[in-house]
Amino acid sequence: MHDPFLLLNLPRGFDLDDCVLRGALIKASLDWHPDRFALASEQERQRAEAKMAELNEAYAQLRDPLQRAEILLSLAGFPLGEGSDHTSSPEFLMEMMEWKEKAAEHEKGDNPEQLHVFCQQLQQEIDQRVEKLRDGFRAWQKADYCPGTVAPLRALLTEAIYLQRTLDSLQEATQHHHD
Amino acid sequence: MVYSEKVIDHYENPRNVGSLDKDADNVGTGIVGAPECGDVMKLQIQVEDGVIKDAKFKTFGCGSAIASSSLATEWLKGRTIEEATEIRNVDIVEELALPPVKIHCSVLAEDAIKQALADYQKKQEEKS
Repeated sequence: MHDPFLLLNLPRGFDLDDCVLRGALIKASLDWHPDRFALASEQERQRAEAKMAELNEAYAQLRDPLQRAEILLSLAGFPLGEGSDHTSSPEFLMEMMEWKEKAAEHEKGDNPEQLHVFCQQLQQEIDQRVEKLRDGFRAWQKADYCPGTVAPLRALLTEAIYLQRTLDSLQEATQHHHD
Repeated sequence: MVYSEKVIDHYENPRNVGSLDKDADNVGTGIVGAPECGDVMKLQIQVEDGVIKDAKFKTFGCGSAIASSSLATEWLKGRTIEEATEIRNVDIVEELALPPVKIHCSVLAEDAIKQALADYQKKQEEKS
């Protein structure tokens, strides 16, 4: 499997400082920078370009905590999987339904202040889960990635992804409005 | 994404949107989701004398997810519980001419039906 941690020569883990990540990208990019291939053959130049694209992609994936968490779970052999969700509780899905209902109202409404407050609330819900993920991944690492403790991590991440998608699509839709 | 006419029809005129009393004995509720697309779907059935008298849904998601659940409620009404278990996602795919990338929407609808039926049956067992 494609491992962005390996590509950027970083230790696998959820805790990842932005500066460290940025540094790792720069270091890994040195050998592949287009300037070094100005006089190289077309084939070599293309290879370097592809490598740079791969490194940038790895950087973008690791920078986003939710994608980082998803990658860590996949690498450990517990991918979230696509399609129907068999992880979330009906209670959470009900709660999600309410968030979506409110998001739909804010999308139609014309009150930028209320919209802003609502987006902040959603962001808080996401942040809370990211914090819990941080603790969870630390505990999981300490437990030598014992499969027994992976379920709550998957549930937390799944919830955070729902909330993030809702926030993203609301922001996308409302930006459009005000342009 | 090009949607079929049937998807557009269900999307623009969704049938049976709404909610039923989830605490009622004769109502079964199914709630499912797909995190990657952020879709959430709720589907409810109201059963009288073993026949589904009413079905309602509420879906937040793409056109195909809305159309799949809208069609599911149409198909559920008038069926017995037995008959309702026979609805398969492939039937929804065929009816709505869903493209391969949207097949998961029909799976979501089938899961919602199964959950609603299971919820109803659980309530009946608890009652007796």
